[in-house]
Amino acid sequence: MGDIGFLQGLGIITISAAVMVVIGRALKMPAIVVYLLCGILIGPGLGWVGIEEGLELVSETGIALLLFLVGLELSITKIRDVGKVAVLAGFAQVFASSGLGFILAKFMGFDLAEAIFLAIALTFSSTVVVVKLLEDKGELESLYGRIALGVLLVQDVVVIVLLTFLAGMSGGEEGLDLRAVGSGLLKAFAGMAVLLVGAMAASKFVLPKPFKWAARSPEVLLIWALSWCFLMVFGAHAFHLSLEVGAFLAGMSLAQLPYNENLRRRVHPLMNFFVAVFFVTLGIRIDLGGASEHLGAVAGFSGFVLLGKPLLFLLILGWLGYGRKTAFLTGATLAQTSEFSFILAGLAMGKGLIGGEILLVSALVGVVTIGISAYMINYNHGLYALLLRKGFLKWKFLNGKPELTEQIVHAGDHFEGHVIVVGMNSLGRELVKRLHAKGEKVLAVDTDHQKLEGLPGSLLLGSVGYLSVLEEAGFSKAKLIVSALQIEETNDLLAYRAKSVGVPCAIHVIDLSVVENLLDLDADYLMVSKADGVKAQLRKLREMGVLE
Amino acid sequence: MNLFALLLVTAAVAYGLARYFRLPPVPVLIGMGMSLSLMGLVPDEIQIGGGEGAMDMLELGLVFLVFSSGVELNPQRFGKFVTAVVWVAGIQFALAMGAGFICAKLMGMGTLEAVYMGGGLAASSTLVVLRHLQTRKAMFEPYGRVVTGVLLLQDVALVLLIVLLSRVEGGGWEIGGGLLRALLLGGVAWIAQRFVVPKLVFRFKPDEENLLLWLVAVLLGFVGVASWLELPMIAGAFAGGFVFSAFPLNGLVRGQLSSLVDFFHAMFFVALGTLLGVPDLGLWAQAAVYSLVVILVTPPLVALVAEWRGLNARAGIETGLLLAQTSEYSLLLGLSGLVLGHMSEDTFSVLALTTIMTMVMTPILGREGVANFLLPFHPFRKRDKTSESYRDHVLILGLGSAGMWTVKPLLARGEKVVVVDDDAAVCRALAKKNIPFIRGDGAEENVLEKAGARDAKIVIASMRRVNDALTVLRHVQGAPVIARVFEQEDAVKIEAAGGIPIVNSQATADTFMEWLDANDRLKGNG
Repeated sequence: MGDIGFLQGLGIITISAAVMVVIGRALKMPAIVVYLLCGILIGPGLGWVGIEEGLELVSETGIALLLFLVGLELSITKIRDVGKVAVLAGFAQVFASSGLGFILAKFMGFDLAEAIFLAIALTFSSTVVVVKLLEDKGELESLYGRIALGVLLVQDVVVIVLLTFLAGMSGGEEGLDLRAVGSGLLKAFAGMAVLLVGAMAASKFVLPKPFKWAARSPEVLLIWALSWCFLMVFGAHAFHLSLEVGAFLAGMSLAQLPYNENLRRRVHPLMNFFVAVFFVTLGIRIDLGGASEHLGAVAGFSGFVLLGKPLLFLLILGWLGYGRKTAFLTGATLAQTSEFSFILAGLAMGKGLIGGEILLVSALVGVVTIGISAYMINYNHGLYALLLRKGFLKWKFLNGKPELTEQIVHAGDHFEGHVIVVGMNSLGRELVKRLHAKGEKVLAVDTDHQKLEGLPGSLLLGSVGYLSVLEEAGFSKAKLIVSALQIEETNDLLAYRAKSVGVPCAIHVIDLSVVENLLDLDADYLMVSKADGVKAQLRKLREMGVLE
Repeated sequence: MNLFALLLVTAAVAYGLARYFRLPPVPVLIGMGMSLSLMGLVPDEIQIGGGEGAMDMLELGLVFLVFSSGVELNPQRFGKFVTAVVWVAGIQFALAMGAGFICAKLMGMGTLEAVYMGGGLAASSTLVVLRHLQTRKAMFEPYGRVVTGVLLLQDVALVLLIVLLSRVEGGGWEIGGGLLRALLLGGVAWIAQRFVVPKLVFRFKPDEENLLLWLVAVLLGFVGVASWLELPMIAGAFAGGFVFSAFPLNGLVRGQLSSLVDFFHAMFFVALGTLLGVPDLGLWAQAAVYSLVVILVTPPLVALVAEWRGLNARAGIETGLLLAQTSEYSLLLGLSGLVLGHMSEDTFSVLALTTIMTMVMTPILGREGVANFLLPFHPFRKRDKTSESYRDHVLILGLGSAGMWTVKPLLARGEKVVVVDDDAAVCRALAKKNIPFIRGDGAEENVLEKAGARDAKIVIASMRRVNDALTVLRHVQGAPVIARVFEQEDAVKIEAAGGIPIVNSQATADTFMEWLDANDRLKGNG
């Protein structure tokens, strides 16, 4: 059924990545670095895989899903909180970085056109890298995470403007077609306005009711959400905007719904897979031929990105009144170049504006800065503490305003010593009510929002088949996990998970055939509803005088 | 990307319609894909044999579909019913395939095409039926276990059939060689499932992202091995899924896999629908004939074999009715035949239309009322011919596994106890203890008459379905009826009908709270 060229390529990518992830974990390497190295190894290194259309599509899908997830995470309120600072910091950084980058490039001996493109390439940070790493850390909603995201969105707008300029440029003597550029810019901004207004209007007036109906079925919810995402991507495409903008707006318009958390969990595995392929293919694209001749330039530009950009953000955010920690964390988060650099340089090369070596330099700087900044992001708190101890960040202007101070809260932090009850059938609901009445801290979990309505205590909408749901429920710190479900596989998995973290569990047994499995899994208590029902029946028979 | 938008929006509409009309999603997805053809919206990228971008993703969808079936192939799911499962699956598949083959030949198909058609008609849909069982909370029921087992074995049979048919042109040696290679692949998968992958997972403890990567790596690795063994990639995908079928791995991966599977299912079945185009009336008519064959042959065949292997009559009929549709694997078989040139596009369309029609019928056939309606027509169902009449007795409807706990104290008190149960094994045990019984369905009026329900001192109804208990309440006027239910809302219905509900969930909550109070280790808040 067709040839397996695409599947073969994808197979080599995933198998190599799976193996390298094990090695990388032992070396405490961030996953993104592993994927990049894997791509370099199997692509330009060993020549096992090339880029083809199927892989491009998988990569693009990954980017769309990632931005969709980001949008889902952030409600309009959260964006509005940091809108002003993101715009100011974003534009200030773009101008400052590009100016300083241009000076550096000229200093290194590049000509005017090359220096301009290098400066542009150094300016933008990678939305995909930043979002992926912050998502993994659970710090996307932190203050610095939201500022970083806001800055990235501002950079996206600038990229659109640049791409439009580039599209209006022809190579050689013909120069800039101002009319084409002007009309392109108009279309782009008009398109953005239409998409933004459309997304907001849909979020308020169109989406809530249908999605409430769809939410009772997890797969319907997922498919509807994905179709909305790709519809917006299609709209972005029609307005010559990037797919990131469309996907992000789609996610944001769904972020207001009460099931966005549940939806996020379902989209996450999809995104993880596609984005992993994206990073590996990024590595595959690197052409190492002639790299040794440009090592000095690569080192210089990488140093500028890794040190200069964070410093710029420290200055800008400090001036705006943010504390040293927020300013540092934001800067450290944005200390890499973007995949856009590759695209811009590639387009410019296509127009005959620059040569292949500029593409190579920007690609190598990209790989180096993405790799190192991944470590910086993963260990950002430790790095901050270290620099502070060494006296590096103790500048007065970084004292910051109290209301703009960072608070990092991870999901699941606020649950401890509680009882988790899974499955809101009659048994589950009854247990939640009784436990709550007894004074226990109770967390009720179900996949159906209607079944959670009217219950006391804390509520969590999600499927316990996902470890992230259990983590959000703080299952490792729970006093007891209770399952009222009548699904054998899920009950077995819950018992297994409870055993793995040493938390006692009580599992509902609907049929005696499952008892053996649950006993093997060291379930602490089995609720055999049929037997309990028979006992209650016998009590009733005694009450009626049929039995003594 | 635009193709994704089109397919996903189409799938979204399909899922919405399926949910609204309570239909299985698969036929609606295919139907909506066909609507795209009707409206002239089929993208150029979707064509058989195409290998660019979009078709690559659809191939990925195909392997994920098969992979997810392999993950479900856990024999523990059908527990102690293994013998019944093997007999029912074996006989049903063979005879249904034979019936399909004969029908296809009578309709004028060539031999090879008729074999494809026969195989396609013999397989039932794992996706549709398992969902139905889960919705009705019937996975634990004896017929639920048997059905699950039969479906999984049918999947294996179809994969083997695809392997065999892919080599049919090479003659007997080629076919034999293909089988051996398939067994080798299965062997490798078995070794990986038992000894390699679980050890690796528990040694390295990958997080969810890495586990997913391993999942896909194993899937594509086995697809690669299948390719090296010159086997269809479906065989590799199925074997790869089998690697993750044992507990607890299957539980760990199911959550991660479900999103990918849902995404690719949606895309795949809509795209498949677009491939079918707009079939003409003649093809619809042929599909209707084949659908009738499936619906008329499968239920009685399965019911008879199931009862022969120990299920009661109603469970056998329910099993048969639930299996009366063709499968997504039938479509894969047809697709394989189409690509290899063994099957014409028209025949594939007929097979797909048959799948749509029979899948749409499943929720209707799976209703309780249908099995109840067919029960009296069961030719070999043993009916109690006793003429004894009962008065002032304690009547127990449905003994189940816990019923003797009620019977024993009643007998100890000197009460006259009469039991109604449809299970032959239960009746044999009662006969050994000299406890009067009537073999039959406690929800049937004539059985209630024979059991003297109206003249009983008290009726204890341990029925699986609340509707059966309500039937008893309608029949019995005067005598108190105790009915055990699980859900509070069912208790309300019983009470409204004049019965005395015993709510299992309340009783369990009572016992649980006592246990919690008594358990020092867990005392804390409150």
